[in-house]
Amino acid sequence: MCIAWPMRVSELLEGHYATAEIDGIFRRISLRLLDEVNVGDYVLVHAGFAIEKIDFSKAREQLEIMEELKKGILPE
Amino acid sequence: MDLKSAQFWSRRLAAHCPPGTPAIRLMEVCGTHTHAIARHNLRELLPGNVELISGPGCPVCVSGVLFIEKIRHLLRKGVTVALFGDLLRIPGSSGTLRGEKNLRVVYSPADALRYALENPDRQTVFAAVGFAPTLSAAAALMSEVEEQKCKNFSILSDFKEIMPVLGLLCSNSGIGGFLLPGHVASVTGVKHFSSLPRPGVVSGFEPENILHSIDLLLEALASGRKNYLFNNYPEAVRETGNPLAEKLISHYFRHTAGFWRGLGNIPDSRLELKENFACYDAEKIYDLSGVQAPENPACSCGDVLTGKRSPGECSLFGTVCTPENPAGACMASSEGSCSAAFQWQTGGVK
Repeated sequence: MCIAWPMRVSELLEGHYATAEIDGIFRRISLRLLDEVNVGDYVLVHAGFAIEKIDFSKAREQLEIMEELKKGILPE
Repeated sequence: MDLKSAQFWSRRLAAHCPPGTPAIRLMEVCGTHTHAIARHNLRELLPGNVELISGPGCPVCVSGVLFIEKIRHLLRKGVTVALFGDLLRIPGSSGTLRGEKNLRVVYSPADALRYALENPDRQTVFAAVGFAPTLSAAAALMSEVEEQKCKNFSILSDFKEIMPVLGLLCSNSGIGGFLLPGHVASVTGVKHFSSLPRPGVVSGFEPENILHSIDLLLEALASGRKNYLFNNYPEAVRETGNPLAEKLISHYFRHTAGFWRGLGNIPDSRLELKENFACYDAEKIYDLSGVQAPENPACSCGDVLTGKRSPGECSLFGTVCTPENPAGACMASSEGSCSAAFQWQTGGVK
């Protein structure tokens, strides 16, 4: 139920709405839950509403942490 | 996830629980985690003494019989009810809502409002279920409803809050730690879970991210850190959550007791519109207080969820309660314990 997708804001529309895109699919989303969203920002979209901005630099940090773990000696 | 990664995680998780370690029971409480875990077969990678239970993380599944009957009551009065399609799977006291007139299935609460604005002569109710993400969407929508001065739109709320249930599960079951719902935390922040008396990790939804979160939980348990709380989905979750969303939620909604299918009445676990927004509250507009619908008293979902009974030990299992006609939440959710036990014909033998 609480399914959400990252989408890229492609155009700002009137009345707190925007067009956002993922994999070539465009959707009208509401930006009422976020301050200062710009074209090009990635947002987490749930049921047609952007609920949070996404900071991909943090995702990369997480991936690096996991890769570091994997470099360790595997417990047998 | 490739085979090498799967082998890595399997060995790494096993290292936290050498043979002889007492059994550990973890719980995930998010439908999207449930799906990801089943789809990528992640349970296969867990050590033998670690059990991962699907908790009451599907808000549709835990909606009570009475909520469904209230919707039916509205539909039969000629009111249009907009709802998420998943609600059509859940039975009230006289079956599901499939085939009823005046239903509109919507993808977003905004679609429900748009329908109301386009059909000003029709009364439209949004039958709302969900946790914090959907609740925040409804709160944002309410600000638009007010701006548009829409007079023919209202909300029938069965929005739920998961924390009181987690507290309950901690006190009466042997849950050792929780995989916490990433999208709920996007709205509420990690701080929302700080009163949990067991370790918790806010997790994202990629299979390796989930395994890493389980790894962190097992590590915390092995080192006895009961209040361990970690954000393992930092790209979308801030410590403080989304303050604007929280502000809108608390402007329009307040906590009250809520009914959970199979678990009963739980204090402070439901959100309803505040008194000053009663003109948008379908419960009050249509005076639904007289609608009655008893739950099936034999439903043992509460015991199944807390591990006190296996699905096969419930008297309704496989007879009265089946995936096609579920009585309880554990059968209603496609990944619930009872649904899985029925599907794999294990009878839920642990």
